[in-house]
Amino acid sequence: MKKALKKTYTTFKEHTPKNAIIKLLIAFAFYLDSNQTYNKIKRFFWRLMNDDNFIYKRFFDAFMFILVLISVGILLYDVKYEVHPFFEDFDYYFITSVFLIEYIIRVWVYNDIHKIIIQEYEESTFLGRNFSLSKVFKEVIAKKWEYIRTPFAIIDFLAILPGYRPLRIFRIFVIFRLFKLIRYVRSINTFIEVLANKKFELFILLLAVTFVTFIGGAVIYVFEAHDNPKIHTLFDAIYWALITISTVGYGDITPVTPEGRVLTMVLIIFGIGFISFATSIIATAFTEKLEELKSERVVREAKSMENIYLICGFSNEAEILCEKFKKENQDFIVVDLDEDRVKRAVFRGYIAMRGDVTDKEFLKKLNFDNISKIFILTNDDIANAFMILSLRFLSKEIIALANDERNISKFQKAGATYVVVPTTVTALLMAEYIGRPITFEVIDAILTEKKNAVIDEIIVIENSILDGKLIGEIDFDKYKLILFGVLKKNASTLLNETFKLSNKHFYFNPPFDLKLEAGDVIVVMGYNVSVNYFKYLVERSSV
Amino acid sequence: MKTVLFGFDDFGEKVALYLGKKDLTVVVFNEEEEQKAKNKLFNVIRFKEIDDDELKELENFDVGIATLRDEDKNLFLCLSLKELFPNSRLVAKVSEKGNEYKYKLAGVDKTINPYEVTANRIMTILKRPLTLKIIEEIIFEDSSLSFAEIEIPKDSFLDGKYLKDIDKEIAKNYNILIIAVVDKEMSKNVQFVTKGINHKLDAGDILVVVGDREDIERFKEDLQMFIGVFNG
Repeated sequence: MKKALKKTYTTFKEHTPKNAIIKLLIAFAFYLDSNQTYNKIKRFFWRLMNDDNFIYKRFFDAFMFILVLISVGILLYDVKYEVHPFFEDFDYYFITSVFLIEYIIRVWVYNDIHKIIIQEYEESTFLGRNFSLSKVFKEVIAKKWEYIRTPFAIIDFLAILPGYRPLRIFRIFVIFRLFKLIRYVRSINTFIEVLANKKFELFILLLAVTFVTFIGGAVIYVFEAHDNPKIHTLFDAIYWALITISTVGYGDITPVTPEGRVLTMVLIIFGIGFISFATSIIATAFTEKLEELKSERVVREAKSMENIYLICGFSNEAEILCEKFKKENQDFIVVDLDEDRVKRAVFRGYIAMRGDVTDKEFLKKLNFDNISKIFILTNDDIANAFMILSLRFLSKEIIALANDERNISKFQKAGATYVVVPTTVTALLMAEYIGRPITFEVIDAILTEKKNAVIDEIIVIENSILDGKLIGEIDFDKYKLILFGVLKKNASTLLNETFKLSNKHFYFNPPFDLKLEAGDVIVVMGYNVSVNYFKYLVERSSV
Repeated sequence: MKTVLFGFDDFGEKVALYLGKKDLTVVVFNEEEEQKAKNKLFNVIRFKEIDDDELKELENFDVGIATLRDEDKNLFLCLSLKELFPNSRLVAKVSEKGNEYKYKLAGVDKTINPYEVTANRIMTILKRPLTLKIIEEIIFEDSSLSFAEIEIPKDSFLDGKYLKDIDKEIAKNYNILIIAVVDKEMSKNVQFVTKGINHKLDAGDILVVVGDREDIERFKEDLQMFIGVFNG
């Protein structure tokens, strides 16, 4: 940055007041650009105004919402009664200044002026021309104007006006404060968004209505201006035409000539057409947007959670898995291509949406910062492989279902951390039932985690009742547990290890004189209550 | 033991592979599966539909395994089989958890839900990778650890002993763990030793043990060898 400043000085050799100002301006722009506190503050306000996921925005919105209601309430009360001077001042000074400050902040955070200055500076030094103050000025104004002329900004501006006392007429602009509510209430916002999607259709409709109203008004004016005592001007005629066409039909002005009545009938038929047209436009706009709105809601819900599991494909396996996650209060999102399956997931109260995880656009919507594990569980191996490849760049743990054993290695190569084959174990289990029904019962109990046969692992926590003990010193019998084995960090020279697991050594049925150390893992089997109680004892003793 | 397997889709095929070809008849209801089973040299019978007259043609069997793909057909098959062969044991694959009780009502002896087993495995992967490894070591036959059922011979050194008196010794000397017992005096069902009951072991009771295959063999041999020596 210092280098940049030095350059600035060399560019402006003449010491005119104008150059001094420019130099100062550029230095200030660079200062702001590098000042972290300034950028942080600006970022904070930007989020406060614009980021729906920012927690403080909700408070801010609620606060503004209440201010608007108070302000409008005072206006309405003021129509017939005398408002207490305190409230009047509160309305004029406090609420208006809050709105004014908000307006200024919104204009401020819309873009960075200093960036424009820096850009112009860089451009001018690059091209070797003089720094153009007027160009910067124009650009700043253009950018800010770009914001000021947005509908929301106009509403904000009009909402400030009632604070200008000398002109009582401005009081009516308090109504614009009601429009401000749109900003602070999300659902109104979506409503407008949905309608905005049908801009074209609505515009056509409006054009048609205007056209027919005008023609109808003109015709009735020609026919009845002399005969009908209620129609004096063209305005009366057009007013009547609109009331008729909208099927409201007050009846304050009625046609008196036969020609007028025929015209009325035609107008009414047109009117019914227009109204049904309008209804269908709005209805279709919503049905079209519904899905998107739903998935948006899902994404928003998911954003507030942490450590979420992403489940791709709501297969039978996924269904049971989800049940288990739900029981454990593990948050998860279900994504599936099939509408029916998504419905089934939603019906069960899960957060689910339709979407294709192999689609880049769809992936962008999901926030992967808080997704910790990905499950790919469709019953189609080709789709599974495609999903694994599409999601691997996220470098999260991926657990995938391979419906065919031969695909295990392919999935692993594609990037799955674990691959599970659904049929193998069950098929084996069935075969086991034929051959050895008793062993089958035991395996079945273990695999389906019946409460009487839970195999679980317990970590030897430092300073707990397990740390430093010999196996023989722990009375597993008393706790109604069977010690299956120990996973040790350090290999024992005396024993034959049963197998290795991530550089640790597992010993089945360890001898009484094996010493436990912190970090080892013991594997026990027993009733789930026994296992949980033992775990609790170990954890408590370490405190 | 005569076994009949109904259905030969991916799942049925795997079951058939684990069972082996001896004493196994595969019954299929469509041509495609028939062809597949024939190619793998299984003993195949093809029926047109699930019909009592057709099913009657089957010879009596000990165990029937129903693995038809469609849940409704599978259920109807079980119902029909139970009526025609009331004395045969019947195992069925269940696809939806809510249907388990329907199979029970149909008289099926054992149901297996492949989806639940898979879901459980995924849970184990997440929570207890070590346990998963152990379970796999035990269940899959090509590893060193395995399950075994050992019936206590009459007059062997375990006949008449109490479980708690001998389990430590066995664990130490043979390096095998007793995890469940069928105590004929109490019931014919399997009971896990972790229930805490000090079973009295008699001839005919069955121990379910885990251990290295060689150790288990050694234990079995010793049981036979020392008959009468200790109780003599």
